[in-house]
Amino acid sequence: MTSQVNEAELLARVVSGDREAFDAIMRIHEDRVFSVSLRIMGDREQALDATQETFLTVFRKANQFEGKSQLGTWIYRIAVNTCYDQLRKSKRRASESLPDYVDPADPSAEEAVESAGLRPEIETALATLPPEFRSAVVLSDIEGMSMPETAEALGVPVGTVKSRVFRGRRLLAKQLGNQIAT
Amino acid sequence: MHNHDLNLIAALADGSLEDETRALSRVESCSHCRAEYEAQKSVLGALGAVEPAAMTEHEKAALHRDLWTELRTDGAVAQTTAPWWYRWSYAAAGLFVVIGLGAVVSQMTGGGDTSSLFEETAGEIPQAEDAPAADDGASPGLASAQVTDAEAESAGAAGADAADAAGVDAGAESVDFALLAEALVEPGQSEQMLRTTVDQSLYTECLTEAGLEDHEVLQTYSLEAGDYIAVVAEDAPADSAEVTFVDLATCGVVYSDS
Repeated sequence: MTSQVNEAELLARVVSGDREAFDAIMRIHEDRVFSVSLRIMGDREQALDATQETFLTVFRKANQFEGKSQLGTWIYRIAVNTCYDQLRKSKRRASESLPDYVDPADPSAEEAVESAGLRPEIETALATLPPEFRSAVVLSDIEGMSMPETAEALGVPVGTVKSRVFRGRRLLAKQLGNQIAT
Repeated sequence: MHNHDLNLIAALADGSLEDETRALSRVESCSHCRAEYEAQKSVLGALGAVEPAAMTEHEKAALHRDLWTELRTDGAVAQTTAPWWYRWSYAAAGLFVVIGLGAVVSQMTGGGDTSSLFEETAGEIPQAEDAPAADDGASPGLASAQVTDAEAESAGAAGADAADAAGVDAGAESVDFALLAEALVEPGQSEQMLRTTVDQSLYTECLTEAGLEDHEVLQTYSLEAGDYIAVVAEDAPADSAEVTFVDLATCGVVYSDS
């Protein structure tokens, strides 16, 4: 509750033009926004773009946040929608090799890319899921959000999320070799 | 198998059921349900082993820099929030104007003629070059902030110098880190206070790469020439701390006042 109040205060300061307040909000949520974007997009560079676009939207629409949900949930919803937009614009699949934009002078970069990468078979299987199923599985089963949180972030009823998560897992199971009779 | 059973089995698999009795019974009695349950558990196990993804320090720095650049470009923000020394430079400039006007009024009311006043003022300009606030590497505009007397040595004047030296409109080589270091600690503001306003964890990796893992970040700078951090040793005495500047793009030391 306290963090919710603090975040609401931070956002109010953002609306009044406080740059430091927005930096604080970014520091709280940027890793998770990036993580969600990476799992949905399947490509690190595109996920970075989506993360930036998400926070640009958050800044520009800060005055539209009504406080009906947690600030984080609102931000993740923007992130998911941003990813959907970018996926529509690009059909590029995730690359299995280390991206060439990684700064060789940054020893942490390769490690970060490797640790952030999914096992290739999981990555491939996730990429075959319809975006709506993929985002539901990512938020629920990888990011660990509850069903109500996931539903709020996706802007759909809880029942719809349950169905998408179940069917998404089932498709993944098939892709991963666990055939299920239907 | 009905959708209701599917939801029940999915919830059993992810452990979100408060009472699992009915779901377990269903799985026990129905081979199809058991196969579905095992498949869901298997996928959950694979997804659960996925490590959290995070950006590197470089990526975070680039994200913040590019975002504010974009917002400034499209007019969403008028300008960046300037550091304290930059804001003080305006106050100092205003003070000089007031002092200058006061001198003019004094001369005029005291019977001095205008032409002699201009001569005297023009004569002061060369003296400003000898003032302690050196302009090594600073932008040409620095001369305007260096005028006159002992006030030029005040914190305000140092702030004005630092603002120009920061290279707001110049390349990296024009950044006068010596002046930034001088102007870093505002009178009455301790280094500890400065430290607490910076999220130290953002820069740990870069400091380690620069061989400065025992240092703390005092201040961050987003200049057109690049992004830099000013750091001091953790155990350095507050009154004689050596300030080092690190380029966040390369994690290399660009200046040390040792």
